[in-house]
Amino acid sequence: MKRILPLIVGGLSALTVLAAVFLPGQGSSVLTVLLNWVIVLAAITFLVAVASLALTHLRFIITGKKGFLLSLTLLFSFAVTLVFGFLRGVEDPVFLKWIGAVVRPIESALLGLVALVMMSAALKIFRERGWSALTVSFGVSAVVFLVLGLGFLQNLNLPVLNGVIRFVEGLPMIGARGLLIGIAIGLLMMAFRVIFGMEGPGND
Amino acid sequence: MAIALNLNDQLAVTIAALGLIFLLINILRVKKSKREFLAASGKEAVETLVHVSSEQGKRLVLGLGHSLTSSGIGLSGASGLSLQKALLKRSLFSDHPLQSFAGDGSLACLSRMIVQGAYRGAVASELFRGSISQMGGVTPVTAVTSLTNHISDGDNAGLLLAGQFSPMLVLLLDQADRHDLPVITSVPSLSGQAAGFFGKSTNLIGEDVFDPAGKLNQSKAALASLSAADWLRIAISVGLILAAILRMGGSLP
Repeated sequence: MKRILPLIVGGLSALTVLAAVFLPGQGSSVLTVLLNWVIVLAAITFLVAVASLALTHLRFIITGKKGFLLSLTLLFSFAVTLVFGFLRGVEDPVFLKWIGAVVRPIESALLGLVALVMMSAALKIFRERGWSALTVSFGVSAVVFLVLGLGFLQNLNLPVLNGVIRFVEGLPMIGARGLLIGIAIGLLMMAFRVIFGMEGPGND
Repeated sequence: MAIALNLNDQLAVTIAALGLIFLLINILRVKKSKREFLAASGKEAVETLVHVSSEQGKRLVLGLGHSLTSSGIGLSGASGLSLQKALLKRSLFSDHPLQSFAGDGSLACLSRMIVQGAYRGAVASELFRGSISQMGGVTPVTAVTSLTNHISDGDNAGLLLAGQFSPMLVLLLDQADRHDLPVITSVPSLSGQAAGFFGKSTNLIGEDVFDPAGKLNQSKAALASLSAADWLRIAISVGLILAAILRMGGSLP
């Protein structure tokens, strides 16, 4: 019973959502209610996860585990944010400004770093993976799309060339659709496995 | 009650119904010993990494991604959980069991349930330690940066990234490359799959990301769904070709 009840609830919920999606009139109200339930449930799981995270790091500090200074930093910043959030409210502009002043520069710096790493990755791919069909096509397509992105060829206004450019610009979309169809098929199968209880935390 | 579905919805319902029928047929016909669906690299990658970690007495680190309910609700964010289950089974009683990090509250709770379920299934609930399944961060950035902290740890034998990751995962892959840490990426998004080609990492693409465990997951459900996915792929290909022919003949608008 302990395993069957969640399975029935999960399966029925999934089928209800599916039915609601395909019933535009009657379904939208059901979807709204279900979405609200999901939001509440997600918020609860988030609280559980945060509490568990805090406890885990507290345990790391108590036992003096390697890297416990990071745990200390985490718990300190968490406590400060929590206290200020409770005192001033999460919509308070001063609170948001303080949080933003810490988070935004760090995120911007990381995004800048990503740009640099991606640039170095484009060069490293030939060293790491050698000269293969994949790496050569990657290099050629990067150069082709860089040139197309400049807009110089489009400005020549040659009908034949414009046709070729349109065809080339459509190629990534074809590849992306192929991959997306693959992802959708995998997702569909995974959804069936979850709905019918073949996939779950404890079962085999 | 009449239900008026547009053409897209009709196609979606037909594909879903076909998928379900194929899955049911394959559950009845697939034998456990047969496994020919995944590409060779995907089939071997995780198993090889598990062997390496056992030989070296080191642990594997699994990043489960940052999205299940936090930034839009999508089941694809949970694609790493089946890998976690398969890997835990093999490392439960080792000195360094699989260490997983989730970047989403719901994902972290599900991951913890999987750890608990694995210990309960092995009749060793008293050995359960919650710290082997943690929440790493709550945004795409923090999920990646929290994992970056663990890469330099000498106790790691490999890194597996299975779940939704932003292209920021190149930071992780770069760090792993610098520390000579083998990486397998299995990300169900186009940008994530593109970023997964970074460096020496093994990158799973398309529907393979929903069976990253490869040879390790020999359950009948997994094998049947792989076979059904293959059938469905053939059916969709035939449908697309037929539609193209009909369109060229002027029978379709």
